[in-house]
Amino acid sequence: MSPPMSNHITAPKRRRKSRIGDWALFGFAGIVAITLIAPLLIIIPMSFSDAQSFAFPPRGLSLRWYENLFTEEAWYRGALQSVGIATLVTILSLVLGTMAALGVSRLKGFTQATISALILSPMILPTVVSGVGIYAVFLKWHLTANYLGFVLAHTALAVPFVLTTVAAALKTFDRTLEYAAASCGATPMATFVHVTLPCIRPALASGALFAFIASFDEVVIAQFLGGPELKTLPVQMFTSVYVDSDPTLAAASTVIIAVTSIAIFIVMQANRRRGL
Amino acid sequence: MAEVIARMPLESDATHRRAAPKLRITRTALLIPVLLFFAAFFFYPLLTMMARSVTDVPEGAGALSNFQWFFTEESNLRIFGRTLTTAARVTVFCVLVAYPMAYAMMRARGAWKLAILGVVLLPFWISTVVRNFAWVVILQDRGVLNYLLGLGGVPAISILGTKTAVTIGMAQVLLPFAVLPIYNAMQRIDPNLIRAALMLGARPTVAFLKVFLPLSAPGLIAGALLVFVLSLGFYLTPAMLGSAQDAMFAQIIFRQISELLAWGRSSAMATILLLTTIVILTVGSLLTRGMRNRSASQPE
Repeated sequence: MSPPMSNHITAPKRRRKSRIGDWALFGFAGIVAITLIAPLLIIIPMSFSDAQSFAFPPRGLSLRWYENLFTEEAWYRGALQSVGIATLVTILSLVLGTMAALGVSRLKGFTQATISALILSPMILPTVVSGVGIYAVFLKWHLTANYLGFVLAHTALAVPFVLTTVAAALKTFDRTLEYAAASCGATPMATFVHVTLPCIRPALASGALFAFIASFDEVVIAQFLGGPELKTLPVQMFTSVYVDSDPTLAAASTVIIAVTSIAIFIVMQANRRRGL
Repeated sequence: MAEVIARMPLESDATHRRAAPKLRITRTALLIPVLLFFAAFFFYPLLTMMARSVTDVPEGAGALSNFQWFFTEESNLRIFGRTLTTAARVTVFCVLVAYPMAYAMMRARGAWKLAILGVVLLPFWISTVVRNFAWVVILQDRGVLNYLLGLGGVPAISILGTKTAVTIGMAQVLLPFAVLPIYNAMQRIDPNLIRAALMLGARPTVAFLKVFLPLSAPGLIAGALLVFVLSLGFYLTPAMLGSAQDAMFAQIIFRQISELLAWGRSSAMATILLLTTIVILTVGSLLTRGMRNRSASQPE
């Protein structure tokens, strides 16, 4: 709301009042912003502590928790398994999610709403609910405690993120370009690769990031499907805060924060270059 | 198809008649793999689970015995009730924080708008375990909060393991789901309507309460609904920040399987959670659709 322009007698008074309101508003926003960010920054000094506890402030400095992260099997194996699973999930859900977005964008009305609701449902339904079902079925299909089971289950959770980002990009995409290519004799595949794909590339980058995180971050299904030889990083982190106060968790968290920030920065740059 | 025809006025009718079935084949071909994937690895498991809730029963017991067990055991009902009240508490807290945040985002310009958006979206990007761990570090007895309170000479407080800790942790994760719909609704409001109200002599408070708030209500309700529904299935945050006595629904479903291998009972509980989610979403979306239609049908 901009201050009223009509009544010049009361305008100055109102403007002053609205300025106080602005201060209150942006002050509040600032406090909320700090509450959202500060917790993450506090983890970083904790990871350099030399004590076997989460007590604050850390007394001495050391790199022993980082050493632990890269030398203790449970930690580095979990990290490698998580990265491997999340990478496969990203590839599979990019393919399925982009196809879904292209297909859904060619539908209309009730059919479109129903099919996208079905594909988006993993985003809304509690993972513990789908987890119970998936665990039971995957036990029968021998898909527990192996990579394939993880990749299939996590892909179902990740596809909705690709669908939403790509579908949003397709909404602003000028379909006449596809018709132009098609009428010039391009096959549907060539049209997609040379016309549609370059236009939705930034959306694919964001979708890939979300899909990776959806898998990398998942704990509930990962606990069901995991086994003694297969324990992903978030599960290892979760048990380490739950069972024993192991500051390796702080080191792992710091690495995750750093890597995520770099990935977000790269994706944002890709989007900005495209003028988004 | 209508748009295609409108945009290609020069082509003959015959081309259109040939193009239409071709397009349909392409989109079916595009959707079949993803629908098959979801049918096999998402919906089939969900249906099996629902079936199991009535078939996996103790010998001689009725089909609904798992549900009977759920609704007669007092501790189950207490946990279910606690889950609903926690979700309500988180929703109220989220909306109270999200509304001014969305308003600030609407008022801010350029880089500031992006900065607020980035801060709000942060929980989407940073690992949930990491974020909850951060709250453990802050709220624990020898944590950051008590350290800062100690510097100010205030006696230490114990927050970790309480409902307050769970509410704070969940609200942080769910805040974007409230901010974004509210922000969308606010952006659609024509600023001239507010200007008109002010010009006609309404005090800013009145203009806000009678014009701005009702116009942003659909976004508010959509955000609140989303936060509430997502809260119902929270597992990680109550497990990390709450206490075992205050367990939420998702935690006991998890425990029924991982510790007791009670497939029938846990399937019944998961079915109850699934149906609760669907019912709330359906009722809520009908409600917001009704509101949107009403505000759309108002004379300009």
